[in-house]
Amino acid sequence: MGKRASWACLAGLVLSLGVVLGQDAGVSSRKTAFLEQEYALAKNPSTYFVFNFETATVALKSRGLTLKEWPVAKMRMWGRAGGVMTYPLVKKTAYRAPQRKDITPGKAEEEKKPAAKTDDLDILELGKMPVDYTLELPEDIRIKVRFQKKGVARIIGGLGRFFSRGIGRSVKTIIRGAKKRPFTDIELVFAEENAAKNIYWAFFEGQNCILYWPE
Amino acid sequence: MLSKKSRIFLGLAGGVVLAVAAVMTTGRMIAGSWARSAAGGEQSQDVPAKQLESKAKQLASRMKNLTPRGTYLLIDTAENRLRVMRDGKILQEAIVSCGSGDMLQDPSGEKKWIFDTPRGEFSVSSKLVNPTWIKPDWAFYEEGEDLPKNYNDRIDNDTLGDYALGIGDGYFIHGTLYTRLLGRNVTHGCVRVGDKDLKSIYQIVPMGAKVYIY
Repeated sequence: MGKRASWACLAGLVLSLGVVLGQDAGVSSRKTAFLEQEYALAKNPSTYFVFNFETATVALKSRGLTLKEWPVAKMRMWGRAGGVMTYPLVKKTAYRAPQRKDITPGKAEEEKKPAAKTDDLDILELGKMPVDYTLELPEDIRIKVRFQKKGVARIIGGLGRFFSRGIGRSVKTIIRGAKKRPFTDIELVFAEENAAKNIYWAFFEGQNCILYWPE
Repeated sequence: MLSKKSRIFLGLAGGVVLAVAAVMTTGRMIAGSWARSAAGGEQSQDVPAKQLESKAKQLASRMKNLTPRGTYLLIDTAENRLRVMRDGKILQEAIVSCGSGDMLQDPSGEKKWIFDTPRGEFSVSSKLVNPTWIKPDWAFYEEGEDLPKNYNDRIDNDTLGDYALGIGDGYFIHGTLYTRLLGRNVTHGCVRVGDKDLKSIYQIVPMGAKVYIY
């Protein structure tokens, strides 16, 4: 009986070691699905985004090459979440979205005047991009991007979010639950202002992105 | 003892707090059930580990074949930076000027131009020394002028600088007279580079080199 028990123990150890090693070396179906979906995008000449919620990063890529990458300071998920999915950006909305300027013929070449101040140029630049906006994807997926404010602005923002996202979103969830129409809300907070601005700049409507949720 | 008003107020406040808590808890429960059902749906796939591993290896090697090799250019329109890369390493970095994003309409209102630098993957399709700019219609409309009747009036030998690298559709990486505006988004879509940087970019970057604009 003692011998049998020792053999059983040994077999158990070998098996569990095999499982652990297998987990380390093996590739999950989710990672394969991610590679599959990224390859499908990388075959085309357009740039694409990867929202990797496992590594808490957002990357702008082309042909599998990472052009830019931004770390996410905080993220929150609400509703359906899971797997790997590719979606095009349907719309980006911001409270103060930057607008294109219409050139008035004959007055356009401000730059040709040697004395013109470069600070006065009315052009679309990174600095004018918003830091608080929503990226709308199909299937009722919304990615809310914001920059982590400090001091009083952070407290006021937090109170606002308590009402809009805490209570408002809960009410929306109950209504949508009754109608059996689930949705997904993702909140990404960046510690650097430029990260939020860069994503707004680089992510255009129709451009594809991959959402990769943690396993 | 509390007054009647205070008791009503406290009762109402307590009711509101309870209602909010109930709404938030219910919402959280429903959202949690959606998350669980999404995760459950995903786990239904059952593929052997070996098969997954070989598929992943195959995809990774295919992906590697897509990434650029040799010399290529990265142009960041947000930061107005151009980087000459070779096998993943930066050979040269330059401050440039990219598209302003402004719009211009012709006097008849039929045609509209948006002065963005195009984004995506391109390749160097021409390399020119002392390039000549054939001014397009927008260049005249923008200055409030009528379109020229004589083709020679469109020829401009000064604006593009000493060298130009064509990337297709009339877009070039070229020199500039307005060096004080390097680092700003002021162009009509082309990428302007300072003289010194442009010369070495012209020398380093071969024909057919990939250009990634983002």
